[in-house]
Amino acid sequence: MSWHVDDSAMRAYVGNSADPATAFSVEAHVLTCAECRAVVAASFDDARLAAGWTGLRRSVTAPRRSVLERALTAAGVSDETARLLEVTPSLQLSWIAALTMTVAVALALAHLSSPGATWFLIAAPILPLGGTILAYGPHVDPAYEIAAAASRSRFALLMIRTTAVLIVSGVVIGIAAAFLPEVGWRAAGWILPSLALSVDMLALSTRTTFLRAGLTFGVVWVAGVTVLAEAAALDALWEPTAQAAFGGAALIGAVLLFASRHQFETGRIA
Amino acid sequence: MSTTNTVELENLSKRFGRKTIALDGLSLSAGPGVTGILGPNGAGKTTLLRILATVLPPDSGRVRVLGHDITEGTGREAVRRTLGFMPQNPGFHQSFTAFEFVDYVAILKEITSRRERHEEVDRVLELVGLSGEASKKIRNLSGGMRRRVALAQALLGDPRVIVLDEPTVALDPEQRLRSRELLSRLGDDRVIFLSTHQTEDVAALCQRVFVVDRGTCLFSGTPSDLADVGRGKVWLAAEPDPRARTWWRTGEGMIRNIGDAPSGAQNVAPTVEDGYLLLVGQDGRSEAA
Repeated sequence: MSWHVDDSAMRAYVGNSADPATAFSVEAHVLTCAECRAVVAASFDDARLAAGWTGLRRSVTAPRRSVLERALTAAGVSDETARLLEVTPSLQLSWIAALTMTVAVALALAHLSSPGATWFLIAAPILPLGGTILAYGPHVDPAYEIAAAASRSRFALLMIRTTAVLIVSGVVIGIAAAFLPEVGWRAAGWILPSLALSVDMLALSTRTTFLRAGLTFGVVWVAGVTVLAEAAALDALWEPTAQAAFGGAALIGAVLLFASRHQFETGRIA
Repeated sequence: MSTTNTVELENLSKRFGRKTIALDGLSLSAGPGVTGILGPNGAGKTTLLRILATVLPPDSGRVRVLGHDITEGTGREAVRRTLGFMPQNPGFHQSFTAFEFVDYVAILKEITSRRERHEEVDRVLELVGLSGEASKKIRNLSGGMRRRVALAQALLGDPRVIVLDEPTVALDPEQRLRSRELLSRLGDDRVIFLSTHQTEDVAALCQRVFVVDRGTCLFSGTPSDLADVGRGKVWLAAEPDPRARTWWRTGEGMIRNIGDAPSGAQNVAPTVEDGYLLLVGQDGRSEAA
């Protein structure tokens, strides 16, 4: 190359056919040579230049995927659903970390004292309930009004978020429960009460706010186990009859929730 | 006027709790163009726009948007597919960039193709003059820029009905002019409702204006009709006049009185603001009612 880029190198460069070494040389030269810069500017295809700028802008502005989104897409969840889940407070790393620590402490206590395992199983259903309360609604979503006016079904959004929250909570609690000492099959005894509390809370939220519905079932659960503890009858919770009752309550809640799903679309729930 | 390009509200009522009546049998209709909703704080403007945007249901009354009844499931779904809404206090997920937030709303609006969605996000950010800020976190944007992000998401999908609650709040004069230009252009073939306290925006932008107070419609007409409410009732004097409902000292040092002018008063041309003040200002409502 002489003082200026020769014609063949220039043609190859603006025609996008220059080899990497030539392209690099031309780009280094035009930075300091106004004459060759003008030749490049005059020769370049405007449409290609615009496409290049658009691509560059896209690469800068394109949404970055969070750790949660990357994990979800790796698990087979679509990009769109992962983005809808990304803003769920009870799927944030801080919530999952707090949940994990709480469960870890409860598990440690279960190993240190004999009633610890029972108290673990009693406390376990409250955690998914808390996650469900924080999954959807105007009390947790700053962009709730914008989302409410959009065409995506509010009920579908609620289901996507609460299902994800219940799965994450269930996995964390389930892993810990598997390591509980001397409980046998009762290690799974928290699952049906947990489902009943969360699903029934959602069903009740068609009649009142999420917070009130969640608090109602939280209080009912705590009051119930307190009464049983006073009567030294906590083990009754793991009896097949009680477990069947929890399963039935979850089923009834699911039916009521589905039957009232249109309430979420009308905006009567705020 | 065809009902397929109009918005019609009939006898709309909405209460919050037992005591708060937000809307009290309000009726209005509007076609393509920019329609302004003026009213004092607590007049019912935001409730009206939230009902129009299908965020809230009315307690009673009928709302037809482009021929669809929004109190019915299918009508509501159809309206949401062609609606853009900017709330009064738009909330954002602060960890998102401007692009990411608008992209998130585009997902909520069911623009499923990733490429198409990103092109649409680019388009609306360009429309509101935020292309250069697309990669900035929302928490680092100024109040005016955030409102433009909120406006951008309302324009996603080229909606035929656009509902904007105080879109020009927090915008500097240049941004406000740009917004006016944009809304004016969009209003050529779309139905745009905007609520505002800025009477200058109404005068400059709106083909129709409704004045709302205590849940009812006090006035409907053009901005010049609203200004005409003050004809013969605005005068300049050296001192405040006791008959004036309200007055203020102008930049030139004269007192601008608004009310029942005395004979021989130096009347001046009323503005939209004068007409508005006469309708809803101190003691104004009882006179208008």
